Amino acid sequence: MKDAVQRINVEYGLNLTDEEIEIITKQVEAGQRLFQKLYEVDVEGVVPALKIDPAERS
Amino acid sequence: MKMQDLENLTIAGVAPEVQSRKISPVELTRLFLARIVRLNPVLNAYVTITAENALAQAQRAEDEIAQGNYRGALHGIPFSIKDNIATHGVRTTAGSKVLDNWVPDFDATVVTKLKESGAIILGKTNLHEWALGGTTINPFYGTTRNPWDLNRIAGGSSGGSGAAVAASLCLGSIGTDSAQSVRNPASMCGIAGLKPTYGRISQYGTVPGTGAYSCNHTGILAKTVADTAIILSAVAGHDPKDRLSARQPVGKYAESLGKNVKGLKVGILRGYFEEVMATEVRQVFYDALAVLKKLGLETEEVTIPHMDLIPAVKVCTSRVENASAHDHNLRTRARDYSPQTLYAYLSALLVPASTYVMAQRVRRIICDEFRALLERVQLFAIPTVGFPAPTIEECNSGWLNIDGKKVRRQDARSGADSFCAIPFNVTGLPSLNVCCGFSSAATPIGMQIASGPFQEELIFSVAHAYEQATDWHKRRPVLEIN
Repeated sequence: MKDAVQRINVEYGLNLTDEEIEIITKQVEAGQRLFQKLYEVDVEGVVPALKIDPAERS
Repeated sequence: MKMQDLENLTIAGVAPEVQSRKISPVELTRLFLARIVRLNPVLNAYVTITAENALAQAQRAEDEIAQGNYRGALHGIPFSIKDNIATHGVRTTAGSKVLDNWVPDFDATVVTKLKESGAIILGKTNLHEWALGGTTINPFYGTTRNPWDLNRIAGGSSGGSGAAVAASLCLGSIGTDSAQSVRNPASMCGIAGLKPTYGRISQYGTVPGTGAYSCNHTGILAKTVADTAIILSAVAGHDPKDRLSARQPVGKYAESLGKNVKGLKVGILRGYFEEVMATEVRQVFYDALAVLKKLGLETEEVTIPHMDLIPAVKVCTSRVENASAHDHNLRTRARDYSPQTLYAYLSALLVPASTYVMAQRVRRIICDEFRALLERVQLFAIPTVGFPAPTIEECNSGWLNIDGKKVRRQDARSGADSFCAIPFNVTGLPSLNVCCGFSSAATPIGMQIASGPFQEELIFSVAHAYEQATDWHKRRPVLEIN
């Protein structure tokens, strides 16, 4: 994951320090662990809530 | 009228006096401005004060009323606007360094509607940087302090709005809420705060990147439920400039107050948010439920099968949608973000698109589960924040003291202060904070009353009944001016 952060660093011209790259990498990894639970849900046939229609919300 | 008299003013109370010309909008505005000059250096609720404009608006209101052209309950009423909402000719920073000199050449629709109602805009209120957090400890514009205890935060991200209303530095304020940002400061400052149904109030003119597109809401902070209802009628409605705004007709919400609430069923939400809930918040909340029961409401504990996934859905959605709005600035002005905010946006760039879509599929399931619950109950109740306002020192340290235990203020699921609020950002359901008690440190504790889509009238009727049965909303912070 550190490689991905470094690619962003170059692409965005950020000049991040090693310490900053470490912090961001840890945040990305923590996010990945959190989001992993989403993949455990059976979403067969479920349409994403991408159409943001207030009349249909909830 | 004296400056201290402002503390007990409400919109519902003062509007008839303004209409009958017993109270002058110019005099009222001058008093509020004088109070701001006196107290804002301590509270830091306002980042910009528009005294000259406000007095000109007040004079216009006074002239119109004198000519018999009274526009309604907001005519001549002093307001503040969160500083991520565009105001024509007035600097709008979004609490950021990036926009420290941005002066919009247009008004947000909510501001236009307020002005059309004859409201007076006193200034712009402080917020968490880019509205991305719940403390309003802002590295560029300073920390907003809680009027009930100056060593504590006022909540956030609309912390300036919460402090301004609670300290009687305005009678109403407009904020935004993508995770908690209206209800949290309302809770911590002991006032009413409404996050309406998604799309109920136009978001046109809210600075992009100050809340995820699909989770953000324009909201209202005021001293009472009645005032919140009055304001909603004035600012809600479809807006052709906001494709996400709703076409549902706008109610005369103040007329719903006083309706019989007997027999309504309230679902007491259970779930992950109870992990970080102080005993005294739990106790105050149970006491509030007892009041609702006395009013004739029925309660039952409810949850949904995927409740625990709400933080993952919310964080994924917010990160990705926010990051897309910041892409240009991240490439050109990255060092104009505070480190914490910069790291959050950069980490969001690495969330795979497939994860975002998965989050939206789970979100659909969660919305359907709430819809099913709403066939059993008409309302939900839940504390607004699991703990009373923490000290500024605690927030800066990153640790909270809850029931004598050290708890991280923030983890991968975002700020612990947002846990109770985000179910209603993920689902878009309306939710209102009412003050329901005070902590052992004499700071306010709030309860959310929520319901189905566009059921604001129902929420107002129950919340108003609760306020009438209690006197928490009548308490005022003791400030130096007294």
